[in-house]
Amino acid sequence: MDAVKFYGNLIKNNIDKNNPSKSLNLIKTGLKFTSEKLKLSPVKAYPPSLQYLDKLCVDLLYDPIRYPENSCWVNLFAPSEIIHAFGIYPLFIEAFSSFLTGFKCEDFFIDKAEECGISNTLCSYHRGFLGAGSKNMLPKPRFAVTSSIACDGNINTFRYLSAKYDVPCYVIDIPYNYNEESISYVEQQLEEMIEMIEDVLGKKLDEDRLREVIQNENKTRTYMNTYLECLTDKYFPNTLTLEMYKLFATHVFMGRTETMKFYQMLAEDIKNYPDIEKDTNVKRIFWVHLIPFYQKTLREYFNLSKKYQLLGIDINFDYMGYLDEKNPLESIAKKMLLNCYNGKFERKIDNVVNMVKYLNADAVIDFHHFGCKQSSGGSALLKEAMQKNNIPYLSIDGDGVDRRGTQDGQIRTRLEAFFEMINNGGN
Amino acid sequence: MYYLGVDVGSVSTDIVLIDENFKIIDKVYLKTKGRPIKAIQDGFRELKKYKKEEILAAGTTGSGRQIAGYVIGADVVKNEITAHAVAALYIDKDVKTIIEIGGQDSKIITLKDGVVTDFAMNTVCAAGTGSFLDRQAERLEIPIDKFGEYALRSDSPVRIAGRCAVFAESDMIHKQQLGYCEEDIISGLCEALVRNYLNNLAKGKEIKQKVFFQGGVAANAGMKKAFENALGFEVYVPEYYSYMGAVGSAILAKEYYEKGNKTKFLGFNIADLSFNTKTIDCSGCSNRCEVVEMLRENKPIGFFGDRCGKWSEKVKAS
Repeated sequence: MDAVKFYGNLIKNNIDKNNPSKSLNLIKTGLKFTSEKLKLSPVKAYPPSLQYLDKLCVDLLYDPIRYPENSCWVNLFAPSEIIHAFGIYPLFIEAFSSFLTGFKCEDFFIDKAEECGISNTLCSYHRGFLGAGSKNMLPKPRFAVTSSIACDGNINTFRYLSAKYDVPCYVIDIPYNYNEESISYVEQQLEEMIEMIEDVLGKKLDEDRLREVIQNENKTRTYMNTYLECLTDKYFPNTLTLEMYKLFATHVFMGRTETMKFYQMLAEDIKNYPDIEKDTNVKRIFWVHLIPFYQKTLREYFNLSKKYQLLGIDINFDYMGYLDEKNPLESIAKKMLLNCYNGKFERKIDNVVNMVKYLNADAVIDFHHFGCKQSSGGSALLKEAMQKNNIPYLSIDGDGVDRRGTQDGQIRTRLEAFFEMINNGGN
Repeated sequence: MYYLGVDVGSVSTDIVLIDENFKIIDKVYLKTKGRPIKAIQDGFRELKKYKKEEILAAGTTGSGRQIAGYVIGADVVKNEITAHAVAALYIDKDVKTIIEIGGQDSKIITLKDGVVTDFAMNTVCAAGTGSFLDRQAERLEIPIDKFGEYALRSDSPVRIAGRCAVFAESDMIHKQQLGYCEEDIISGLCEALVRNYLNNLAKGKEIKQKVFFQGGVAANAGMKKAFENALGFEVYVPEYYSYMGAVGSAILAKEYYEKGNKTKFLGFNIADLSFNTKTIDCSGCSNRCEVVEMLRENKPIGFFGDRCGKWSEKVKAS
């Protein structure tokens, strides 16, 4: 008997029995248990930094569920610095949906969203969260904040659920162009957003605290750069889940001391790993977009693999600059505008090409998550750019969270053929 | 002495025997019908005249390659893209593009200097695959092997919306109700499928000559003609177009043997043994792998689905 599946069924059954708080308690218990388990017996094959991240992400998801009165809903591209300066626990909705997949109950919540009339073409990260919201399983946060970067589908998710839960919501509109006008436009919105949060919380933003958060972020960036410099010619273990967990660190929890500690440990750990020898058979793979972390064949090939080293996903490197602590809001506005997922697809392509070259990657795998139009829509352009740069490229389709949307046979055949191709020198 | 290649696809299971000179000595074509083990066993029954000792090595490919590998004791288990490319290159080393359309998937493979340099496969859409043509043949009550002849008799193909199998079917019904003849509708369907293939799978790819058209759908002369019309040059259908996966697999088995390896082939008598599978939920770690155990005469012969090798290595070791 699959214990996780059994547990997932309990979560589902309690929703069906109109007992959403019991389902939420099961999720909380599951997270608490996992956190305790990882504390007592971390995965031995991971270096300390990855063991730390493994537990940290469970805790970071647990906090806003545990303390909803001090939480907010955010998406991947929300301005985390301001949220942390207010001392609020963000519930990162894409991560919540991913954990539903971890509990093997994502299908149920996705279907619940569809039963409410949500289109099945909407991203499943959102459908999962909407399904949980529609069944009143989510605890009520204080407010919600999102941005239009990369994903405009998420705006409707936030508007719908914040209206349902009667919580204020701020949507930051990020223009495609980067100029004085757009910087000032985003900065103004950030000010309005801060006012909204101040009204909700009944306290002013502590500017010193915001500066501290930005200092943490800049230090984190330095550790991250040290790690990346080492990664250019070193082997370092990775798994699909850990790479997705890094999104916690590079985005929603950027600026927190825990994130800084993780990258500090990572920068130290990698020094203990060997250089990749010349003429080695190791193939270094750079991944584009999201990873279906649950997928059997991909886990088999990549998790802790010494043959196919997963270097990273491009979203973890979508903005690599430092922030100006003297002009925090302007700096955050610039960061959002310059995110390579904002604006023309060519920005994303340039980032992928630069990262592939910098990290000495041998090949690129581009995952098209169903429901994410920018990803599949831009694949022909990305492929063309890879061909121009002589970088072998594979595109695979599937769903980042919904197990039903990924065909194992298709993935296995493509992956095996691709590995044979790159091992034989084809591109 | 021979080399065996088995291609277990979603619709058909093809088995070939080749000799030292790559000549096809024997071949069997069966419908898989969702029961790959039975299809292999039925095929092996027809090949019982060959002794186990005559087979120097065996290979499997196709979507059922893994299960087939356990059943026959394969030496090489390879994906169908590699197998098709190997077979095409053996026949003609100048081939630059392979159009392969099978029962439930279609592929394009690009080659340069005898190496696969790019490929694409259709995803979850069945439009343009053999199964869709089969279904339309059945609906029109025309034997599938006559589909090509019908298409070639057409002078003015009807334009069919071929982007989606569901819409293509309703469009065909609509065109029938408007009174178009079957020949023009079938020819129009072939053109629509080719258009769909070139717009989706071959999108952004330069289709360089020489082009091979292989897989079961290559039997349809109407499809060959539609590809030639669309591309403006000749498309070659190799003699054993529907066995190319199995041929490639046999060639890979030959390469395996020539490297000095011994075969694990179990012989054609496996046709008379009982095979079944069962699923085990491994509780060894938090991965909780769903392991499939394969049994021959109720004895385990293989496991797959475990990430750590705890189960799959068990059989290798014993």
